[in-house]
Amino acid sequence: MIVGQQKKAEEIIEMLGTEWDSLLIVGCGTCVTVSLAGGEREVAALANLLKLYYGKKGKKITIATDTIIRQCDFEFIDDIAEKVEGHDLVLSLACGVGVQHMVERHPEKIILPGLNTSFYGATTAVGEWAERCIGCGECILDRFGGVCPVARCSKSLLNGPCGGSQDGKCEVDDGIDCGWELIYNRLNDLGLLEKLLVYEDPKDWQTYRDGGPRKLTNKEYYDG
Amino acid sequence: MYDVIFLGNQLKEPSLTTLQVDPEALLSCRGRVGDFSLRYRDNGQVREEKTLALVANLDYEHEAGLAGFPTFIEDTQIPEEGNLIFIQDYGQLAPAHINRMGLEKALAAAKGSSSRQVYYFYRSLRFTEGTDDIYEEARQAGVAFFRYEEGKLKVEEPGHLTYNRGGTSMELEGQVLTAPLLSPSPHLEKLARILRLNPSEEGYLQEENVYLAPTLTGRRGVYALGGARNPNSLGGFEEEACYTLEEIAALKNDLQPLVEDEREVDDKKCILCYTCYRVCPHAALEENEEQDAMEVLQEACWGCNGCISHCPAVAISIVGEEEEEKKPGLQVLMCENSAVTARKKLPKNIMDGFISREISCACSLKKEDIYAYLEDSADRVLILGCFEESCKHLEGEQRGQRIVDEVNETLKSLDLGEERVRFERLSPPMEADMKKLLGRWREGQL
Amino acid sequence: MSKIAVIGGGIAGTTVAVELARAGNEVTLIEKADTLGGNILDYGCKAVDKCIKCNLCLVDETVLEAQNSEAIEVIVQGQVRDLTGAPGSYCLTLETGGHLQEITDLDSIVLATGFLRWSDLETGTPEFSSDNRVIWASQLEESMKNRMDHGESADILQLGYNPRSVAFIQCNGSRSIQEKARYCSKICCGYSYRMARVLKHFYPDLEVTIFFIDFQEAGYFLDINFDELDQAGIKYINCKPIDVSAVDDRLRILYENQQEGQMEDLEADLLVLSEGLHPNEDNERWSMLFNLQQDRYGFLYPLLPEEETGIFLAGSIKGPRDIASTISDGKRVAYRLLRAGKKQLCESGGQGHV
Repeated sequence: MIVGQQKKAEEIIEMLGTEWDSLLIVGCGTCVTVSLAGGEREVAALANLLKLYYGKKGKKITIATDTIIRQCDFEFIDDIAEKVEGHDLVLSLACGVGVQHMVERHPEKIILPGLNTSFYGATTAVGEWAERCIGCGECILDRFGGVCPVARCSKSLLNGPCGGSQDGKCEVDDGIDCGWELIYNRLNDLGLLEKLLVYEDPKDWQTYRDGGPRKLTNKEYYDG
Repeated sequence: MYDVIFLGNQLKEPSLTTLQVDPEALLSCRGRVGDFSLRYRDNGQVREEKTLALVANLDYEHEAGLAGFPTFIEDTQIPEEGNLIFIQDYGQLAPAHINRMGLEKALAAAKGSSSRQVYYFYRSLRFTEGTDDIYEEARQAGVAFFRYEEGKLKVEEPGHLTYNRGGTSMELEGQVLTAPLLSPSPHLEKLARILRLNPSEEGYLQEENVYLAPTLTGRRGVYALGGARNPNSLGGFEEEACYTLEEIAALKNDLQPLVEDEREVDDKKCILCYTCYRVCPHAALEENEEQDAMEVLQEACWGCNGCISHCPAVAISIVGEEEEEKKPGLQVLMCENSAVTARKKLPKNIMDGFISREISCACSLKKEDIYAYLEDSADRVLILGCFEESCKHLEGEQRGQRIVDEVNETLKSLDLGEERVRFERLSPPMEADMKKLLGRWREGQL
Repeated sequence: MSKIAVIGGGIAGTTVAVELARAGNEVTLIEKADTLGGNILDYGCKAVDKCIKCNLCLVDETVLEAQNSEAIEVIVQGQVRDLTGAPGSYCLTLETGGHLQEITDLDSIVLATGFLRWSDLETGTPEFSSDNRVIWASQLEESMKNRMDHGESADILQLGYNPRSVAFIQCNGSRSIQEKARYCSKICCGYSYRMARVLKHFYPDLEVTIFFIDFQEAGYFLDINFDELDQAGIKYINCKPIDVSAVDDRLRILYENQQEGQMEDLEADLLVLSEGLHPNEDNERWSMLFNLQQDRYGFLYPLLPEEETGIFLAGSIKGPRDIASTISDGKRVAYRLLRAGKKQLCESGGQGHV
């Protein structure tokens, strides 16, 4: 899922500025709820914190909240259209996708991001997520025993380790497992080490952002 | 449906229906006390059985106390002739039960032959198992006991020992037998994961928490015996095994939920993020496939409300509970397992001037509620809860502490005050402590 | 639904009573003193930074439940004087406040009258009882329970000054043929360590020395590791002191340093005598009244199967045990009783596998 982390309260407050009396905080009920960053609970906590803050400052404001199922589909955004119109400022706790989709529906409104969207990741423990995929657009997991050299190796090397790892940890950060050690061990366990003898050509990054922002269509559904 | 499935060694008990399953073969465990579903491998096939209760009863992993020498546990054959040198407490103090085994073997060896000399070296003898008599008998049978200090005993191949104490030095020859060093069975890690238990720091199935004595685990209906627990408990095995079976028989007769309130999951709000499942210390939540949502297993629930406070979709609630009114002011939140009990021993007016609430556990704290209590800059929140390892809900107080730390850090970063939320620890018998804590809180001295 | 009398309102008795009441039975809980709680009533929790498993916290809730339960009739200041009748229709005669009362039609009786502390027995060295620098462990427990402050400089011992050195002597009234108590009381090593730890917390510069013979396991848990005791700043000396005398305003304790083979002395401001568990003085009377047998130390055990006689023993009346095992023993007795005469489970038991 998309993993993000709520911005620090000071940053949010600075971003909100002073030119408003009513704020709507919109949460998202999918990825950021699961990654415990922007769901209904987080929205409620942030709202109460801001009330406390502005109360102390003596600033009279109203803060409303709502959490919709997803902010990356217009139908859900449309459900709260009136609410959005009715507030001076909107703070979205969705990932960057959701914020922008809301902007598209409400071009005249200021919609601010309350989250730092980070990566595509999996839950590794309660409250912990780790990056697994960078969305390169051309999956090569089959050739690497199910461990991605692009996402799991800090340097995205495709033909073997850099040699800088120590005790299985990356030289960039000893909190990171060396991706290539994972690849090697995995293929070794499977008895498929010879796959690594096949030279991997330089990656065509056009399928990644290097070709510009991407768009995908599914011919079965797409009308155009 | 069985009464008990033993994971590991089976105890024979004619009035309960029992089954033995090899812990290595266990694949999954779903359900709750009174209705566990176990899937396991049996002769190449996967079998599923249901049971009321589960007992993990494994052997320990053991290695020689002294490398290269045999240990004196049950299976060791005692040589018929020649001197014997028993050594316990080498490296690690031997638990009471191992003491007993050593003394019994030494006694048997001395009685069995009058021509050999039996020596017994120890750092500390345990008499908690009624081993006084065996010790006396062993001495009368001629076993020579020597206390040694760490580092003052040297054993060389092939059974040659040097001993120093208070200026005396001795050399002895004989077959050396040592107390085994016990460690958790290699199966325990996997078992803990499948049974959804948090192992202790040493790797045993039972966490070290006062509420779990003697054989309970955090999951109702799952018991730990023998090598599933730490070796200190070995001596009480018989009594504890009997206690466990008696409790299972009592549950078989009448199984009631532990708490009166029912907790329910709103299946329209639940997004199966599994946070509640992971956070629950008692494995009381499971996915209900028909409803496509989590479900609270009422008989397994201990009522901590950690699921309610941690659910990011606010999907879980207590049936019939009304939304509480958040009144700002000087708050005292009291854990029902410690502070509430202590307070009952104090006069009612001890709470004057506070807005006090009872909470099920520190893990049921919600950030949003704490902010709501702090409307005025004079408002503060005091949470009175349990010490680490005496929390009824195991990691509950740790979760509560994290929530408090997070709130205080955020408030400080916004210049909204420092330490406006305090989490103080208390124990039920200490009403004097509570009185003092409340007094200092009232005066702003905490 | 059965009618059961539980004699003794300490940990064991209240645990049994509460379990029986929860299962829907009518329970009369009889206690000799004027409140429930028994011996541990005055003991305090030993946690300072984290729980160290003294298990006292488990008791309060049970006592409160016993007091508040509608199914339990609590009779305090009640002494059992006589037993008549047969299994299923026992009759107990009690003396309460000077007059006698009868409790009839009892299906079963649970006897849980606990133990006596060594200091409760009328033995001991007279010259010590008048010196307030020598106290029993139970007195230290009481001052810990009622400590007046929560903070760094609590004068927990209420000495009025900061003590520099405290010594403990273990095994008083236990492990001794002379004192007619050769058995180990099991709990003293554990509680003395825990108390020493509390002392070190409140008086950080305090020297704590414990004179011991052997070190026994301090409960189910691995927290107390003899090899790590040094780190707690508690000094363990392996011998029983030979002499204690008063020198100015301090105590001088004479002992043999076995390692060096010479006599040494220690100066202390306070000497704490750890005390073991002894059979209650009523045990002999109970053995006659309830047809029980006393073991060679004076603790009780049943002559006939308890399920047949309907008379069950619970707790330390049977022998020394710590709080946690007293609670589980109490529960076990309740479970057995509730199975109404069915054979005891797990009779053959079986040893723990290693």
